[in-house]
Amino acid sequence: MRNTLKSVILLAPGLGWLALFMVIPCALIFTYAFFERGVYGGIDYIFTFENFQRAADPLYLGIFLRSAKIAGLATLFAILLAYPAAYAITRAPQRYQTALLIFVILPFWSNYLIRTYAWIVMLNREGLINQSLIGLGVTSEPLPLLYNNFAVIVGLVYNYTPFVVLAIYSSLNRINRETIEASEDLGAPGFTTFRRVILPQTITGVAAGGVFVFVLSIGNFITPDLLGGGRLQMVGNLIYDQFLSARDWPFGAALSMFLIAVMMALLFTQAVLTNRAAGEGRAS
Amino acid sequence: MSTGVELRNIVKRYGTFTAIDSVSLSIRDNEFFALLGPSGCGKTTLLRTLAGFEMPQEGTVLVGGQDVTHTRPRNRPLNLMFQSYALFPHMSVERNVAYGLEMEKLPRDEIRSRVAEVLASAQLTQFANRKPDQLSGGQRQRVALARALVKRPRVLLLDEPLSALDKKLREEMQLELKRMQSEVGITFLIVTHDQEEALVMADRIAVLRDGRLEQVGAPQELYEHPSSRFVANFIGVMNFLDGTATREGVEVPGIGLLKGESTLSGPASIAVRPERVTLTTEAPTDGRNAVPGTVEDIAYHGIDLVAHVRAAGTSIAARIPAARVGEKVPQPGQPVFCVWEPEYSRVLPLN
Amino acid sequence: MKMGAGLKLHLVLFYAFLYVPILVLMALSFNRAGLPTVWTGFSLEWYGKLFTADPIIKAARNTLIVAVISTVLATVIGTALAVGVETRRKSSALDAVLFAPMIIPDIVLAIALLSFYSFLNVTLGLHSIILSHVVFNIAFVVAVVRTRMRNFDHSILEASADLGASEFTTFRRVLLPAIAPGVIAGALLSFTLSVDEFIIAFFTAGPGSSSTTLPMQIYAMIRFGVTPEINAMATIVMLVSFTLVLVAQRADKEVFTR
Repeated sequence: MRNTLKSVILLAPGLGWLALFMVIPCALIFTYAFFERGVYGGIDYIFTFENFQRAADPLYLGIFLRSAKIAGLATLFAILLAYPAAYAITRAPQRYQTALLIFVILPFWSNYLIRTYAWIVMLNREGLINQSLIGLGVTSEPLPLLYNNFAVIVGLVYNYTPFVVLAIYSSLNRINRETIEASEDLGAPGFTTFRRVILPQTITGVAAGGVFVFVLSIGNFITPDLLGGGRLQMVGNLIYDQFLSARDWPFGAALSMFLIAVMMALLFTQAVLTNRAAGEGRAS
Repeated sequence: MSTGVELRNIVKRYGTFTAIDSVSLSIRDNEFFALLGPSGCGKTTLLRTLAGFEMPQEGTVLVGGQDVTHTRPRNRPLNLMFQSYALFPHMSVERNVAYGLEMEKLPRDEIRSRVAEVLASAQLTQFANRKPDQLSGGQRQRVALARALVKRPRVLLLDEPLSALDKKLREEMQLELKRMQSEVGITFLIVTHDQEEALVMADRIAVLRDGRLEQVGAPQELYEHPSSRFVANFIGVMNFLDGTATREGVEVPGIGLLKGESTLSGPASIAVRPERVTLTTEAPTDGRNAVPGTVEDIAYHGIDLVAHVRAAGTSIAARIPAARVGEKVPQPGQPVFCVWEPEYSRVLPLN
Repeated sequence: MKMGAGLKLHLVLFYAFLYVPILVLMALSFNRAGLPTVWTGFSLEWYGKLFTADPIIKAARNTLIVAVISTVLATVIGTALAVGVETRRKSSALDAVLFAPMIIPDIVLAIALLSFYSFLNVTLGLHSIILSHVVFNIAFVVAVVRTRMRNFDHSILEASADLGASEFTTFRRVLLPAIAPGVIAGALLSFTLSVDEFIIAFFTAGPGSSSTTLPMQIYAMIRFGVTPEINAMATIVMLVSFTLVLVAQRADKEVFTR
């Protein structure tokens, strides 16, 4: 009885806050998705499925697919960059590892806008990269590196890779080192040891990092807005547009539901995979 | 002697699992009492029930004749020394020790003098300003002890107090704890899974198994007169030969009657400690028990030898004092007789 | 443990990828010409311009108000929540709710909050940004403090009770000091997050410039084009974040590597 009271006093303010300013607002836009748009941009409380039908329109479906493609490529490159980096850090002398990790994660905690802006400076016609390429004689004309999908992917990879390094590092760190030595002792060449012993034991870290990059990329708004070409680059921009320009809140709400559904499906898959991996770990 | 602690029919269940199954115990004032058993037998749960961190579903806990079953831990006249020591990491040794007295709202001067006194007796005065992480394992253990003792509890509960120390230090601390207990005149209730620790320190030992009390008695009594096969096996090493109990002993198939005091009938074991068994080359004729067999192997232990003899379909261990120069030691493969006096036989139920 | 040459090279290039853009930006903020093409000499001119620009000073003040208040609220509420969650039965539903603010796309939370405020006819302003920022700040404080809660010997709480302390005394004299590094680190991180947060602030600030925050100001300037002032401001903002994060790491060594 007393413990229940203590629990309530500790939990109530926080859970209340999250309920009021997260759960209820999300539930609200969930209901908005089933209503009609008002004449002057408000909500007409008439039940309809039209918003979801519209979201399935080839025009919008195309944006969804393009978002998924960009997010998928960003995820792939982030993992390809992060894995060897994380692996290298686990191989560094113990006393440097924390410092190396902190310097990986440090940019992650600085302003997202500024980090994205830094790539406008890097990639524009007079930017460091074009200057270097011209200086090296690779090209005589500046390349169009900015305001396209390439720039968006670079921006996403740049912003989210640090987290992937962290996730993979922590799963690499949990491996019993002796399993690696055992594999070498049993005659496996380096890459075989990696493929058959190290990778299977770190796949949950890769999955956690990958899901994180994909979820944050597909719903991203700033990076395509600042680095991408065209106005309606990705789902995030489309939602933004419905709320601030087109003033079609129900349609914007329906689009966010799509986003949330994709996110939940991925997180659920990841949780199932992680649980299964943990279950196997226990069984053996 | 008055009763320090009394437990009456304590039952503690977790869901469908019964951790403590109707245990009753009484511990006298100024006694050094040990709860002994393998891990998972319920001994720590019983200790935590006494300290007040676990609430039993049934039964009563009395301390000094007072019912404390529903009293909060902080109001019980007993203190617990935790297995992990549970020293407050952010406080110095001195502050750790003073903490319990501050809770009693004692005057500053009294707190200071009592802390100084207990630190001196635990040889910790020079470490008073250190933090726990600047101490060795043995020093931390003494701080934990000092912190509990400074409150002058009626009973001190110790949860595996020596398990974090290495073997040598552990043996030193066993004697140290025993000395301290007789000095301060407080009831000590220790939980341990180490039978040797219990034998060395305790005045009386309670052996627990699967949440039930198996046997309670003085160390020698438990060793010489175990009431069950479990106790006989848990404390020291015991040889068993299975057969049928009669008035004179146990009829073992293929060997005949092995004599020993018996109150049982039906299937039973006859048990004997290895150090009571001697090996002879010829069958004794003086009425001692004898089991013929073949030496399997000899293990050298320095102070003595242990011979394993294959006999009557089982293996019998015999402890032989280290051989003097020129004395003959049995060799593997040699036929021998395992011989012992009937008074050293114990007749025990099969399980 | 040895590191192969290939791995070493990859790591060096990886750090270059992370830091070259930032360092270029910082270097340009001291370039007299203010342009990326040529270096025309060291100058603090752009910093001077920054500190005399009224909208920027005002935005910085707004940002501080939002960050300080939302951090204080989130730290108190989040610490209580973390302690409450770690001292009761494990619940995956509860874990999901506490994890959600970290993973919900900002844009979704932003429009949800905007819809919610307009549904209730709440006037938008700094207060609505603060209420919104507390949501994700709570999640981060909870995450950091929970890690801390799991990494200390809980028998010290029982030891305190055993020595005669009341629950409140145990909380104040034993639990709080034990988790203090996590609480401090969590507060610093949520301050950093709040200072940098753009989308939710953008949606819940309301019309007009009275409640513009620094990131909103930066966004407007970036949309306008690459200017030397942005470089200078970016340098300051980044150095502040880096300092805060490094201090947080000092406070609680496990904050990033749990």
